[in-house]
Amino acid sequence: MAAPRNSYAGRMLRVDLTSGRISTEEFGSGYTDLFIGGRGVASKVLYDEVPPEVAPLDPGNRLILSPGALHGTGAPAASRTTVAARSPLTNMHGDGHAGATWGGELKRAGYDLLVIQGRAEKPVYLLIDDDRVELREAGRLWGLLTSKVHARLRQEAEDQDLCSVTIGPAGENMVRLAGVFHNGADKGTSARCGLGAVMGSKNLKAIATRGTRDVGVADPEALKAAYRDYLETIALDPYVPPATRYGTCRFMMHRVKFGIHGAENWRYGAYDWQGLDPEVFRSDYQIKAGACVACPVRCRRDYRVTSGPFAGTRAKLEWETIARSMTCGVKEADAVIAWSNLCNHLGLDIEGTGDTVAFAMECFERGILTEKDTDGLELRFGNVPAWLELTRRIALREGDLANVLAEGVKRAAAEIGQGSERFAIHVKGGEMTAGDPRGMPVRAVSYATSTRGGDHLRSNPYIEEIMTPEEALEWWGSEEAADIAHGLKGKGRMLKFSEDLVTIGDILGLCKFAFYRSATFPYLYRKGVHLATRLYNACSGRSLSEKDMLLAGERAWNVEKAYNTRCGATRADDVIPARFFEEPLLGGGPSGGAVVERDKFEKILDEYYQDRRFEPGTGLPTRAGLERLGLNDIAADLAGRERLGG
Amino acid sequence: MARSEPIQVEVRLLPPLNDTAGRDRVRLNLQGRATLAGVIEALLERFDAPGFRRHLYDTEGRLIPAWCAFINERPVRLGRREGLSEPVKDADEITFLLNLAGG
Repeated sequence: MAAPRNSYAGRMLRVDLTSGRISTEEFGSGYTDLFIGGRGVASKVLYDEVPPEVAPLDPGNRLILSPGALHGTGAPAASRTTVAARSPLTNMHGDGHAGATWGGELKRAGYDLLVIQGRAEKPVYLLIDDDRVELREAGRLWGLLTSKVHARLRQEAEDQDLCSVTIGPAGENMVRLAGVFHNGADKGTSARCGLGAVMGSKNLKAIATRGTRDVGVADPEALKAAYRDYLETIALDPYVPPATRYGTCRFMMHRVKFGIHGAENWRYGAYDWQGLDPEVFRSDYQIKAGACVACPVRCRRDYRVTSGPFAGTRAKLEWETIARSMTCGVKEADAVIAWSNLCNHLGLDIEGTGDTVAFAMECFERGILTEKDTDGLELRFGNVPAWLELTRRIALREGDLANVLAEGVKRAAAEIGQGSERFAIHVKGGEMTAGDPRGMPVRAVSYATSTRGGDHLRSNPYIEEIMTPEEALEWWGSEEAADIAHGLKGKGRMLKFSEDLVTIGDILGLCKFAFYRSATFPYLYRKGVHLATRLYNACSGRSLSEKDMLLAGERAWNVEKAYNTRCGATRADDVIPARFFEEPLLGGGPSGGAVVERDKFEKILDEYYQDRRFEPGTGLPTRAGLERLGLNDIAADLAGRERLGG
Repeated sequence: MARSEPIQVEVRLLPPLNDTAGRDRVRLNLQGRATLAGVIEALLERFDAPGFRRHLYDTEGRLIPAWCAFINERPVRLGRREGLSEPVKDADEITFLLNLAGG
């Protein structure tokens, strides 16, 4: 195989686990011209190959692994890979992204994309070693923790550079909260949407990958120049130093000062946080400050507990681990590290698991669940031993309650009943993340419109925090859009832009924290659009404009929206839990008493639909909107299924 | 209290300001400038370092709009026109937070 002239290998790998057939297919402009790579390509392949008749855990579902288009090129902070499938949690589009080395290794093996279909009769793992691609028996690996299986694969291959994606016991047990783990427990997780359960349903324990080829760069000098400009831009940005100092634990101070923790199952805005101060993590527990591949921001953190009941436990953790610990009422840093370790080794999505356990805790508090149901666990908020034990049981589906909770919070509430649906906190079946949206209406809408269920990483509505009124007027037609609590006009337009913007990052494999967060809008645009486009053009040899790149983000978003529409979603699914509309935030503090005002929510959603060209009343995509993006095939498909808006 | 009377405020510095200043808190005397603009002026006089100024202002010399000042517990966005003229009074605690959400 000749050295590639640009960053595309020009071929993809397809593995049918039912037949054992492994094939290499040409992978070219049919996908890359419009969808570029990463999430863009994954979303379109999912649309093309998994119709709504195929259930998420059926053999016909695809597990799609799609490295970002810049992965492996040496571009800064470009190490993210998309894993996608029809989600067993939401029954809609599902994807997760991790910053790790596996995607680059796939590209060095000579493939832009890996698509896995079917179901193996017995547990297997897939070995990709350049052109040698084999399915191997994995009975001895079944049941192993994510860290152990990664170590075992390296040991057996006698190759300490071997990369892997794996599932833990949770994925094997088809827990709908299971993630796909990159290089063991602590290096990165495609966590959301229950993708680990899809992998488990296919009897696929791991994908071990080794590549030795170079990933091409069309114009190395242009890449160097764009890299240099990126470094100069982040050197100006005060967003970066706190991220480098504390990792994502830094977000604690934002939550504290605005009182939007969402503690104890999204009820308390102000909460006892001092035990989880980022300085506590840094000074008492941090053992390593690192980075994903080629990332100068360096926000990755490893922690270790040195005393007490969890002495010796270590884990990588992010802000979301702390946030979801508070959702369960946990206030001690050593317990948070222990829980992170447990989830990562068992193969669970921390965010979904945290919300699900918090739901069970509220059921217990209200007497809907008793110690008889919990097999003796006193499931109170903040009870660390019960929290850890229930997490373990969920991963193993051990006991009736854990088996129900392993289905995710929406299905669990439907099974438990007794009004518990009211405090099952999810959007489209996907558990919520990040901070409480009460008092911040555009954030509330951003959770609702997310194409993979409640999630803060599908958009960047936080733009409202960094824009001046003058900038808001110029970009969104109204100064109001920069007003967090009271603004209305322009918010829908701003949300749509922010969704398209961060989707670029997922397409190219760029980290959102390194490229799609900034202290000013000009810095943000420069990194997320201008430099992202220059980096892509330098690596691919193409000549996209910034407008083309924004359209690519919009296109990928619309493919996912269309997928969900084809699965039955309507405007009624673009909604947040009633709790946020009807129950004032507790605990006092700056946001105490706040709710999401329904009228504001609907007005922002109306403006958003208008800007997206969706049908206002139903939220369905329209032919004009889709064809404008070159998605004529999808428009025809939706029309044939009578799912196209007018 | 007349605006010309001397007042003292306690300023809490969060990252990245505390790293550049080398301390987490500072007490400032505000003579005749009892507003958030006055607090920033006094901070810049006290910590006359390019790094400190760079954290507060962009390359065009504009105050970075993501900065939010909390007067005791009340947030004031400095990116809004009226933010800098917000009055402060003796014994107030002012916290400067880079208002950036995420997760």
